[in-house]
Amino acid sequence: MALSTSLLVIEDLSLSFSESQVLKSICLTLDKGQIQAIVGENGAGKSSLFKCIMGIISPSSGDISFLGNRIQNSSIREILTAGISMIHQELLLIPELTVAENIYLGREFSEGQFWGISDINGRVQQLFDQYGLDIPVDIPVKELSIANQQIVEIMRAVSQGAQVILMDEPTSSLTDVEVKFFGQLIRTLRDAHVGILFTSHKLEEIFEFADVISVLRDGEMVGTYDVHALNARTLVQKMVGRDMADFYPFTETIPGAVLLELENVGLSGVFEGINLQVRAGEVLGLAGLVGAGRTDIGQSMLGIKPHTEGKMTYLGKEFTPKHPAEAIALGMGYLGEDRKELGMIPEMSVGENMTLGLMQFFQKFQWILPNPEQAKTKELQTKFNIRVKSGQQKMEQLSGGNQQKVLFGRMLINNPACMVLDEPTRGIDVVSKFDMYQLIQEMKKDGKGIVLISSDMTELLQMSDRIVVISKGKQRGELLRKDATAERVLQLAL
Amino acid sequence: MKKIFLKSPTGGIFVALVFVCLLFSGLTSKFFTPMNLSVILNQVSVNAILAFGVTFVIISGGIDLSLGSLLAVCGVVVALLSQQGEFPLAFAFLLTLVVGVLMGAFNGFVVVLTKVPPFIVTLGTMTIGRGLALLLSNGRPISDLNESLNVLGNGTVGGIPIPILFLIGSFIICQIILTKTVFGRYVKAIGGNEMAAFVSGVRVNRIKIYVYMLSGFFAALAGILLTARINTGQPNAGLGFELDAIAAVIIGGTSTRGGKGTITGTLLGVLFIGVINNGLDLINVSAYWQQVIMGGIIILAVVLDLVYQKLKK
Repeated sequence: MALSTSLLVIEDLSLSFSESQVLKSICLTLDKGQIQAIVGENGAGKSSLFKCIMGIISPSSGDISFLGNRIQNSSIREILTAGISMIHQELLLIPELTVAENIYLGREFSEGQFWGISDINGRVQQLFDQYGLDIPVDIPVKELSIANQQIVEIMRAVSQGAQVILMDEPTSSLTDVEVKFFGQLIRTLRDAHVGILFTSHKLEEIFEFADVISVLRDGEMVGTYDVHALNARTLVQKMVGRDMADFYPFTETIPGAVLLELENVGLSGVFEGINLQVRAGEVLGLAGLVGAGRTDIGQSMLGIKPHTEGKMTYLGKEFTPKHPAEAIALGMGYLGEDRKELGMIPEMSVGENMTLGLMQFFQKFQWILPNPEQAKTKELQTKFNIRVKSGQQKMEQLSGGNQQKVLFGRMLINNPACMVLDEPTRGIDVVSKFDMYQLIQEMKKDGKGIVLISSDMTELLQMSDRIVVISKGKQRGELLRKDATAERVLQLAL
Repeated sequence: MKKIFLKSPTGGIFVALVFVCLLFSGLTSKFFTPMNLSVILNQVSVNAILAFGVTFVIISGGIDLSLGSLLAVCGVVVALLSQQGEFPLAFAFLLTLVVGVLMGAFNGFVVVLTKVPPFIVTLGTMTIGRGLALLLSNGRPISDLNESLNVLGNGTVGGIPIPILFLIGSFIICQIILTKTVFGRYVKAIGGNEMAAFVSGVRVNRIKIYVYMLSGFFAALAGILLTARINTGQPNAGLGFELDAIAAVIIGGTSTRGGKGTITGTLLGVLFIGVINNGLDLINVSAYWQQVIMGGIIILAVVLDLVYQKLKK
């Protein structure tokens, strides 16, 4: 019986690199038409598991079978042809080619025609109609949103006849609305008997999409559970191995003086008419869809994208930063939305990353003073419990959560009075998220003013004292914590 | 031993350099003599000084193709200023260095303000510079120079040829700038991730302009040294020198994508090219074949470095 419904069966799979054991006797079964979430902290072994399945790395021992055939010694190509595909976090599409061309990439000549398959547009259109997709097939992929690009990649897998699709954090760069659509799509795939394995750091989505949840911790399979047998708290408990009472810590504080004030601030063509105040000891949430202008508003507060209209006041003085260095010198802090792009220098050491842009505190004339610099970075590493081998370790070798803490540490070297945090918990594991929330609370109690931009609705609602909703570059309203619900925020944001 | 070798960022090129030295020592007894080693150092001094300067540009993620032309302009300028000893030599040097720095600043400003890729900008200034050198000299070599200038190019201090002292001095200065100053740190940061550096408050544009000025400064220094050595201001001097310098930097392990590189690596790269040229001369390989071999070796060196980087991981 089991044979007829199981697509993928993994038995006793182990993987070790030189000394460290990455995966320990993993057992996992994926059935036809099942959506299974693989959850765990960063470093729990999720990516390694996926890589083993795809034949990118070979396991040290154990069995992987697909439809009853052992596949663990097959090449990537053989596995793809057999019917297993993977959607990577970084999409692998060619931006200049059209949607249809991307879907048929590498298979144009597969049917033996000299000129290639003539009617790929028609074929792809047919496929899209079948799945109810409203994406033009003949425009270059670069003109699509990230969400649609991802759908194209999924449809490529489908058109190749994939029966198992692995998805590594498929929703990490999608907006709420896009996530809903993504959910519909994978349910359609499920109805077509495709088996889906996905990873995610967002608990809500795991519970919304998954039929069963497999929990990995330190390379071991903690267990596979029916989605109804778990709730957020018990799931986190299984992931972390201990109980975390208040995932979203929140302390009531009485907001103090206005630190930063925006009056009718705008940036031509991007956003306009923004009026808001950031007070000491409060978290001001900026809600809105991706692309609504929240990031741009945050960046104009730092002079990354200097505002062109209206007036900004910081600590009682007119504030028109033209360069981030000016804003930082006056005591603003910034944690960018995408740490790979806006935050870290991957090749440089952890210490050098922490003090980037802040060398004025560790220099005499042009001369770097290594001792105070190392003392400060050590202090921050201990304070934030950043797991590094040494301050000399390269930034790229750290996990996402630790990288984010390094960048948070950088922001605090300056002791800013007011800080803009753009998606501070994106793509980091549950424990690091929890640490980040506690840090934000501490900063708040310390009397800092915090602007929190987040696409994670629960996070935004739970952490903010007030929420300002932005839509299409305009301010749509302000909600106090007690009045803010997901529905009201979405109503204003749409 | 293997560990030390793999840990050092310049391990690959260092081993290659030792290898070619051993090879030539085996092939000819003329190679490994104090005299010949001093000749090699003397020969590479101009290329080394150019290469040190452009290392900063390449680490910052840019490129400077105008080096050879800047060298020519500065060589002509210093020659004009020191003809028949009209000015004190120190004044001539100072003015020439200023010219080099200003031309570097021009590169930097255009790159920063127009956002045109540095490859294109410096390709333009390469031609502009060559034209200026020909204009200033009327297309003819400038001779009858101050005799002290000749001493600078061909004299010795304590038995060491003066160009080698310049090489050592430039090496130390560049090494210090890159590893001990905030400027050096930020150059690496910009090459590693320009956007992140900007958002963190690094004055990216300013640093980029300084980087091209530094490159211009060392091109001027190299120009002075070359004019002093050949005792003439040659408007056609330095043709293709930028390519030798860039090759040395890349052989020395500096990434063309920016973000990482060392001055020591560049020095080793310069020596590597110098040793091969010298060794091939000694074993009487024709100049034409030397070029073919040199090109092949440059490709090989970069490939080996890639293999080495993988080994390290």
